[in-house]
Amino acid sequence: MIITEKRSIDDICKSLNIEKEIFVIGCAACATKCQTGGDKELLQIIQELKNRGFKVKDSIVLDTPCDSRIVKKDLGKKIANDNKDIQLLICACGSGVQTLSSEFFSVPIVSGLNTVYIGSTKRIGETLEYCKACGNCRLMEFEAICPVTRCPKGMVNAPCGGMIEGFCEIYPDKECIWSVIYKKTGNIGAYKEPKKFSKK
Amino acid sequence: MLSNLQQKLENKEFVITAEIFPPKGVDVSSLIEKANILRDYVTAINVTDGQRAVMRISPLAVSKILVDIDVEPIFQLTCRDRNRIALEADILGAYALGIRNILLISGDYPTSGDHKDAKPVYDLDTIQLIKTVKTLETGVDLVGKKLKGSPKFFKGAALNPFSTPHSLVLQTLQKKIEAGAEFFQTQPIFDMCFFDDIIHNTKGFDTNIIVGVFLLKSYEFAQRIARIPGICISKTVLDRLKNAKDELDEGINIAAELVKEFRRKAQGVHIMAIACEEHIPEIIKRSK
Repeated sequence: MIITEKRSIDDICKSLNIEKEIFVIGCAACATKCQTGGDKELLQIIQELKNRGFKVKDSIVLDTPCDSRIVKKDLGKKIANDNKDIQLLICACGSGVQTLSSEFFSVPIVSGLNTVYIGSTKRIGETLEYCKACGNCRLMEFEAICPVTRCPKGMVNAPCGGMIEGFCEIYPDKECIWSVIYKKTGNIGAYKEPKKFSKK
Repeated sequence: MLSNLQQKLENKEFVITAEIFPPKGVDVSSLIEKANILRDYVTAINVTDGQRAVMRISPLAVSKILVDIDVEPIFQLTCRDRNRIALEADILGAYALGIRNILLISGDYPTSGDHKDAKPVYDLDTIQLIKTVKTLETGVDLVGKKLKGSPKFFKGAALNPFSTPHSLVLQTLQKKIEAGAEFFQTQPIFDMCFFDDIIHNTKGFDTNIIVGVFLLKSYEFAQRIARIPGICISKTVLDRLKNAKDELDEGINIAAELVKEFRRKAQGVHIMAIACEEHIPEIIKRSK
């Protein structure tokens, strides 16, 4: 899922206009799972905003704010896309925020979250970055363990000299991904070609 | 024409290399002074590429400065800051400027340095970078286009004898040799017991190992260095410094003893004396 974290309420309020009513929008998918943009989080943020003197007009948790069809269906009648008298506070990932900003082009928009990475959740508060969405998936060259994402240097041939007791020099509490691949295969494998960054 | 470093190693002569950090600025006068002190004692001098991810003047520029004063550089090039287009350009540029030794390494991650928010590039990894130099040597670039004149380098890479698991490190060493690495410089070894343990395993590899030796200029300095992950300094060495009347002199002795041993067991030594390069000639004299 897309992992998000909450922006601080102070930072959010700095971006908001105290004069305009706020429509708070959440996400029932990834942001709910991350406990950053679901029903409970929206209630908390609305209370914080009211405590600081902001006016909240309405709120909704959209199924998937990153889907234009859902946005049009669920919000089309509630918000005019040229309404400059309100502002949207969106607790969703960057994709969700920008889908809304395309559909409501002239409406002021503030993002309530920081999008961190595509990750895997071990438990709440403990996630790992697993995929960079590079568009040139090479997982099967590495027995389904991605060094492009999970090595900070993206080394696809071998570990760097910073691997100490199988741990990463840069993130000492993380296993070096080459140590993990090596445990699975016993072998660092043949020469691997450079990554492709053009997505065509 | 082969570099002195390459010629000596191919003739099985013991080599001594040293390291110079380019300055953070344009004043290279003290760097030139250090190079002049070292010129009669070392075969070649490594010019680091933003080591510890701290911004310093370009190693390409400094390597050319050394060429101009007739001191042989080993141009270090990392994967950290440049994409493949820039790396190929710098490799060709280095050759055109008279540089003949090149050391290819991944490079310390930006967060360990002073420009912590810089974008980590790592377009190519170390083994791909070694292969890139080899590809350019055949007269074509990475997309197969013909070059107007091709370079020819003596290609080196790094070996960290303290990186573990060893079996994985040795597979990496082999892969670097297959990609084209012809010599290796190691992280500093402070104690012969570590050498016998680790470097001994590299005996079966057809390559040149230049072992790192580090001048521990004081007990306090040694304690600080010992805290760096991956560095192993034995209690024996620490005690020698602690109990010495003249800590610097004892540090020079310790380094000289290691160099003397490595003369018998390795193809060369790489002496690192941070901010005290002027003591390197003394280390070499005492190691004979």
